[in-house]
Amino acid sequence: MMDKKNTRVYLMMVLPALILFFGFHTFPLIQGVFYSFTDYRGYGDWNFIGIENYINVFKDPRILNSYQFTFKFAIVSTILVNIISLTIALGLNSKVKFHKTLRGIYFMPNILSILIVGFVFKFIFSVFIPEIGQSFGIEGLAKSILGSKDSAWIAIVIVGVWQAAALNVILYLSGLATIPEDLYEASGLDGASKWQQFRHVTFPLIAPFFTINMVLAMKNFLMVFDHVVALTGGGPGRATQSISLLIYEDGFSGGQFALQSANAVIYFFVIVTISVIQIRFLQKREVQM
Amino acid sequence: MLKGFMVMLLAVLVLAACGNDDTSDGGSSDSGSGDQVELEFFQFKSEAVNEFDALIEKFEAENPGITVVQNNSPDSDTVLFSRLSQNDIPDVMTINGGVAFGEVARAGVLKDLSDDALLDTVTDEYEDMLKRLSRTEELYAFPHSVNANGVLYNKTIFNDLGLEIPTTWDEFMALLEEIKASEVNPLMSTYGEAWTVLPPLNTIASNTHGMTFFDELEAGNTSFTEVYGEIAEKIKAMLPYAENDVFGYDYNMGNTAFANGEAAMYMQGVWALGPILEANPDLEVGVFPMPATNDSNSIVSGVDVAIAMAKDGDHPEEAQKFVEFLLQPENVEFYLETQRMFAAVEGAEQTDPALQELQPYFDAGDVLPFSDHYYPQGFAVDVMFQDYLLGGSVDDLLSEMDSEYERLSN
Repeated sequence: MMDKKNTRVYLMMVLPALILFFGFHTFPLIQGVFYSFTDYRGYGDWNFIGIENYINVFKDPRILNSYQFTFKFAIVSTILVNIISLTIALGLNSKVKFHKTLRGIYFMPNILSILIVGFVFKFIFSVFIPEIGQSFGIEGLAKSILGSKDSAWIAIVIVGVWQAAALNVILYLSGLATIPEDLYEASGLDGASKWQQFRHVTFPLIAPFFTINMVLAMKNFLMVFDHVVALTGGGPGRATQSISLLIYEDGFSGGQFALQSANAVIYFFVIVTISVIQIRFLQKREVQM
Repeated sequence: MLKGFMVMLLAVLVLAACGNDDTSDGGSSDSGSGDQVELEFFQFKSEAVNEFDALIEKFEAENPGITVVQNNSPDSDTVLFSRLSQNDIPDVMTINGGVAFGEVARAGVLKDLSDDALLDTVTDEYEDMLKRLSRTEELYAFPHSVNANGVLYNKTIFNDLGLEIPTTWDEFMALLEEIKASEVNPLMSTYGEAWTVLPPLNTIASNTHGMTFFDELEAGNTSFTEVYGEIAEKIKAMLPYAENDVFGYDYNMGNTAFANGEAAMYMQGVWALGPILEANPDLEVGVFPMPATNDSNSIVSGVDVAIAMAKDGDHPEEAQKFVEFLLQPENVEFYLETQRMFAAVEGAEQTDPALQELQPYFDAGDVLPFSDHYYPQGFAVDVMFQDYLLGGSVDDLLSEMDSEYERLSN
């Protein structure tokens, strides 16, 4: 009797969220998969065409190009973001002055919209830095790095890392807080240097946080969209066209809704596979306390 | 227990999905209060909302019994397309005469206007342009106002250096060379934003290959490789004369810089005059047609606003009345006072001094359409040219254009 009543209460709590989630997430997802087997343009009539879209995805040079850029960007950014945010977290975890205020300041980028951040950085890259370069006669800085096919992706990495580091710092900080102080005392008594302490005490103990940070950062960077829209719009040429941007642009305004749905389905499986592999691999080297 | 809930959940969702169609269908037009008729006017230009509101007010005063509700939404193409798919068509709508117009016209939801008496006052060239876009014998919209590409030039700089307006491609290149010898940047180019390559590209392409090219292309008698080599060379030949950071500049930066007198010329459309004069109201600016070839050159112009009606609207007579009102020369002229465009209707003229050099071309009907309106949907010609100008080879460009055309026209 008691049990049944409880189940009902819990169901009442879960159900609204479930309906919303199904209606606005799962249902459109299923629709997208469905349309990837048709020649739907986003409106009007359509026919089933089997797996033709999936074959065309692999033959399309623009899609391959966007995979190339996205992976280059995601791998470099993931590595940089983890190095930088772990370093900042270690610094903020020590008892420097104002460390609580500093924590707040370092979290700021996370609460700003990427589009706003992107537009500010666009101004810095295309107006501010070139002006400095011109007035000091530094050739390398005189032109906007957004205007070159070779360097535009670096600008996106800079903005991506600047913005994403904030959240990863917080995650690392909460990881560092879980390490008992006596471990440092014990290792200190054994004569371990600061580096040895980090290498053999700190890093192994925050390994679960390292795992989650690597997976989250990689997943977020693979889905990069706002940064590119704000900074380059995918240009110059197609140098910074990310997969998400290509799906959006060609799918909605390019009249290739079905082809890009197929691309999105494939990409969904790519991201899931990468995340699972990452978790498997990184969890192996975590230690249990 | 859980199963029961899941079934219920599904039922709710299915009902919700069905219910959607009912509510969206008849909602807009029936006001129900006796003989007062309400028309929906779907209007895509956010910068012209006030002008149309003023016109609506005048119309309502002349026609008691008809209320017109203007509906302006951002990203109007997408909104219109999704409403088309639900068969929820506005009574009267404006559409930009681009690729999207062709799609809407072919969907078979617009009223056929081919035999309408109003066409007598409409410039024939623009009628043909819209028919070519929809690829139909029938006409599905009235052209209302049209835009133009051209070379915006700084009159003060031209006077100071004693320069003359060029009329052939060779004169244009010589002019660029002459300005380059002075301290002034001859040309503002903003190819950091890909679409800004379109104004010069469209002018050169349309003047070089005319409109028959697209018929020949469709028939398989010609290719981009055969025709676009010369066009690509001309676009590249102008690049060294743009001394600003071409690929670091976007459209807004270009407008501001040109407004501040940082370049003698700027290849854009007449739509750029608005933001430029807003940035610097004192700028002495004029527009001349870009001389794309050494023969006689036409101005490249497209339908900016076309007016269409629903095929099976609830109030066809009232809608017709409103469209007739919008196309009356005095009302078009009222619209042109604030919008720097030209009339597609005879009897209405653009009087803005900055645009006077273009008006004779419109009077003579010496106009060609934008080439990029006739490529297949999704044909990213601007991105391909941006790529090419950043150091790609002509051969790569031409073969990419041909393969993209083949892929997208299937």
